[in-house]
Amino acid sequence: MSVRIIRRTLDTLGTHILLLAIACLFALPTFWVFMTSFKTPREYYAMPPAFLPAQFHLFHYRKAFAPWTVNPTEMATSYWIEESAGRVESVTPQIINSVIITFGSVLLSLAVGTPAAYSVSRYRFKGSKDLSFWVLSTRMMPPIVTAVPLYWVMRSVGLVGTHIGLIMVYVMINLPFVVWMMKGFFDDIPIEIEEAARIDGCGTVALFWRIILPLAIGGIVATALFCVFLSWNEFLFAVILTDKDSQTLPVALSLFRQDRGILWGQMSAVIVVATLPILLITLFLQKQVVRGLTAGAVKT
Amino acid sequence: MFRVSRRIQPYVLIAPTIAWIAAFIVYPLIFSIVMAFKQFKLKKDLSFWDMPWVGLRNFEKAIYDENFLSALWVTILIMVIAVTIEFLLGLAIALLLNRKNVYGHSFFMMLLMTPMMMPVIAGGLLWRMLFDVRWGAVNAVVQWFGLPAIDFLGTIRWALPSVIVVDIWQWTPFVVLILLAGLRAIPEELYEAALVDGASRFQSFFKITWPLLAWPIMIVLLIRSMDAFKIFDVVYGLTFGGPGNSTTTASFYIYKQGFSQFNLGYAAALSWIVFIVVYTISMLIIRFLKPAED
Repeated sequence: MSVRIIRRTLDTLGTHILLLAIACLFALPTFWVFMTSFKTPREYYAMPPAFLPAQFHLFHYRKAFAPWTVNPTEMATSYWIEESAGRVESVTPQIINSVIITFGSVLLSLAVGTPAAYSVSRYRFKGSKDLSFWVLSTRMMPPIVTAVPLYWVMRSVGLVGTHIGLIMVYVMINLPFVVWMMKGFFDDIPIEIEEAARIDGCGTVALFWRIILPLAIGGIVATALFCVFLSWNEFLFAVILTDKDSQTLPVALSLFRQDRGILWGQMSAVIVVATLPILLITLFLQKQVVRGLTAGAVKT
Repeated sequence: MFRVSRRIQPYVLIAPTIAWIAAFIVYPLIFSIVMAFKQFKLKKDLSFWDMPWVGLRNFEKAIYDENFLSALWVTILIMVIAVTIEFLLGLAIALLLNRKNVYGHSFFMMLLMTPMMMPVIAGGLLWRMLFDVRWGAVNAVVQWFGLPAIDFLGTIRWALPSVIVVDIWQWTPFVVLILLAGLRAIPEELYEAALVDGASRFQSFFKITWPLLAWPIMIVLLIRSMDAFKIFDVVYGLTFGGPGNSTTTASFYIYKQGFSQFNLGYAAALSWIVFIVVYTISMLIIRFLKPAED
């Protein structure tokens, strides 16, 4: 009997050790970039590079986000000398652009997509079954196919380099996910509640505003956060449709790619700040993020 | 008060979404067909109607464009190798995570999902740092084994495998998510019944898990295969298509044609060819992997 218990304990232990090793392997590069953002150039331009920084410096963050706090004499010390050669502009404007575009596109996607989701959830009409196919097909079509003509269309109406132009394109990217996810949440609301409200003389608009939306608020938040994830990280359309003044954070990141090496410390600091919001969302709402990521692929 | 008749209500609610699809997907796609048959160069003071028609010449050029064919080949190579490894690895991890004696499930998921959380371009840049020939962490490991440092991103031999490694790192967790959802959907009773009937672990895997997982497997292979044709950000951050054009993927080549050489017409023609290739491959996958309906 006890042999079986030992075997089972070993089996459990082995599974966990294996899983932990695999999970750490996947998380290691992210961890590395977090650590690099605090290191001095002497620590990351070394062979082998230091695994952990000796001291957690905020220098790279200050330089990337608040360059005015960096004292010129501090820059000139041999300690940070590698830094002084490269890019010195702050990426704060790009963060502001990213925030504007993300918020705008998320709000607009919800405004456009939620009624459609409600309609698909409550009424049976021709084509409503093709929804999952639509979600899947937008997921499969290479975005470059629409990006080429869209660039010309946007250019001819003067929307290249504007916030609103990119916001409208991101609504296009978010919409299938909004409709798909919100439909799932509306399906969970029992139709009896609506019928009762109708008997009490509730009009459609009031029904939607006062009864359905408050009940679906959890779903709306989840959907919104998933749209944040999509819009915040998008790169292809951002690089095509923005100019110097409307660049988003991923585009700012791509500028770190210079032919002769990269400013690793500063780049890591920007990567950390670009990743942190999404990482926090996933930390608290893992289930919802998974729901969005698998939208269209898993029957829920 | 303005009241919409109940009969047309569903259409009113869905109208904005339809309008969006029409304006941002259907219209550009139609426009793109027109572009593909014109010599569409981006120049100042040249309106759309001034661009000369060239008939099928853009498509003809594509067929003889060695760089384009190489980009297609690179894409298909990435697709086959990366998707195979991601699928096997993802299946193994999903099966491990689905074991009944696993605790701390969401902790493992959190760690596994970190690669998907950062902008893809950041993933490319981050691995550029790790793959660096002089100070990269990967080369630190290589040298620790006593081997000479490898110039991962600067040599044709290693650049493509590097891109594939990054793709695997970034998207295996996605495969895990989908397959795990599929595994969770299999009713527990089936395994219990199999156990009662004296089935071995292997038997219950191949007779229960595998057939019931057929649908998620097809979906995940479909999505990941199509994603290969989307690869753009990673290449942009990691190698910028080089050295030579050894890591130039289809999407990246179209981008370069359209937005650094400004041959928008040619880029449109190329993207239609890519679209046809993507469509054919997805139809083949559905044809051969679609599980029989009950």
